[in-house]
Amino acid sequence: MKIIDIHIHPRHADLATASGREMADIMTGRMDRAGIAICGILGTVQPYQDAASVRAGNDYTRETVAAAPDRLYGLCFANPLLSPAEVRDELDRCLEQPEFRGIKLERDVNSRDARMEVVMEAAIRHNVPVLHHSWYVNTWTLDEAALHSQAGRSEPHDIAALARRFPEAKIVMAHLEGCGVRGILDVADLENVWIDTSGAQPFTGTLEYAVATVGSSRILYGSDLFGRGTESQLGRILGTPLAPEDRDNILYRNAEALYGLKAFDVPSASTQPLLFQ
Amino acid sequence: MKILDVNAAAGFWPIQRFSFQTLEELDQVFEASQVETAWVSAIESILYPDPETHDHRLFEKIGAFPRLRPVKTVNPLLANWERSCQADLARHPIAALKLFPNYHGYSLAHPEVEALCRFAMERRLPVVVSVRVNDERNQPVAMQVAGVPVEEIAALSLKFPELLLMATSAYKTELKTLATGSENLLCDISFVDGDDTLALAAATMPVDRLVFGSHAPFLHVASAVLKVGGYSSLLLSEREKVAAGNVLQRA
Repeated sequence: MKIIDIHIHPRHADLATASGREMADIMTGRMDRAGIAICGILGTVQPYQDAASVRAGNDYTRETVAAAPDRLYGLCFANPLLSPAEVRDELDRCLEQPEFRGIKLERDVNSRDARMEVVMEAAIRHNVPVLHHSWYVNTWTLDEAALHSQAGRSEPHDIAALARRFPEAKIVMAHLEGCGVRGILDVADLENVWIDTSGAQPFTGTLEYAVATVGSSRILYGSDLFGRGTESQLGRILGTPLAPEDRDNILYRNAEALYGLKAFDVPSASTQPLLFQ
Repeated sequence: MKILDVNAAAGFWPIQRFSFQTLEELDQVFEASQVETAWVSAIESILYPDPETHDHRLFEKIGAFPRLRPVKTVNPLLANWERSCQADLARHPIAALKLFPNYHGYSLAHPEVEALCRFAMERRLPVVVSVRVNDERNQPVAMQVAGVPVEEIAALSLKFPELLLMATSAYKTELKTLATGSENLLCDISFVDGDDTLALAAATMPVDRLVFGSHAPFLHVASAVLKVGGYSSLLLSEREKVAAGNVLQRA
């Protein structure tokens, strides 16, 4: 069984001390134990980073990917609150390097914001997908400071508006479970929107609903590692009654096509991954 | 590895369409996941005013599935809770009593909860406190239910240190408070999430007090099974304790 995880972040506990190469070792070590072939690194995504911080984070992603280029690829993090020139220059700088295969947006600005234009133009120009944070939150349990960091967040209807505004762009709406049934319906008729399976605990039923509503060809496995666990998030896929073709679409085929990963020379696992022992 | 699931349920929940709904489907999932025994409560008993009504429907059917043991949902605010427990314990192999304080509207410091704890201790019955049923962020606007304050669970366990008390569906951030409870306060792993989940949980809560809970059918059984599998960096002996040993040793 081939598995590609399109949604992981560097392990936070090691960020301050580990080099990119060391982080790559941490990641591939966990991937080997779980039988994960390839992972997409979304980088550090704290809101309101200045240009230097964004650049340093993307350099770290590049260094990490360069240490294991057949197992890892990176997304270039963008903060649309920065000047259009800063955003454009950073996206061009990253996306001209082979380590990057997409763009990551978190919650600096809502996806309906006019400042998204420079990001989406770069995505279209470089022909790479944009992975955008999204969630329908009905109950806030955060304190005031944490709520401040959510000011520019996007909900699935915002992602749908972005997809309609830029129909040539390819958009991955993150967090299937957080988007829920309403979010699935928001993007159901938008062929340029994919959904990743990450988010919250592995609740049953949502993935089947998504497959029935948008089809398995637009759903991608994402764990949100290291904030979430491979155990819980992969269990969501393996525990869902799916046709083998649908399961394979979600676990790797869609990711291969969307991120151009078919040529990756992934070593075949010599033993059964520990995850299943 | 022997797996005993202390946190399973069966029935209908209006805001979630489960991947597996009936007792037959639940039993098949447990069989495929190599779960040897599962403690199952009636989901409808969370919302229906008299839990006995739906409990009895479950108890009548569950005997056909040797893998599944019935759990009785108790609302200690109801005048008949003790009489109902006595009657059901005489008729059915009840594995535990389960409380939903946030849905039934009481504090664990309520005098009737203390009476229920004494009742359970006298019969060596475990008491399970469900901290939550779902992720608060995703609850419908019209049905927002905060989690049970875990400080109350820890305090209750210290008041009744001999009682086998289990907190189910607690977040990993809540384990630190639950760890301050008695040695007989156990916590399930259903809502604990993060890379190398068991090691993460064991860093906060002694491994001797962690237990296997799937929270099926709300959550996938496969996810809980993978948490106690070989991906974990804990020793096999430690994983076996979580999977079943910690409950079997005390029950």
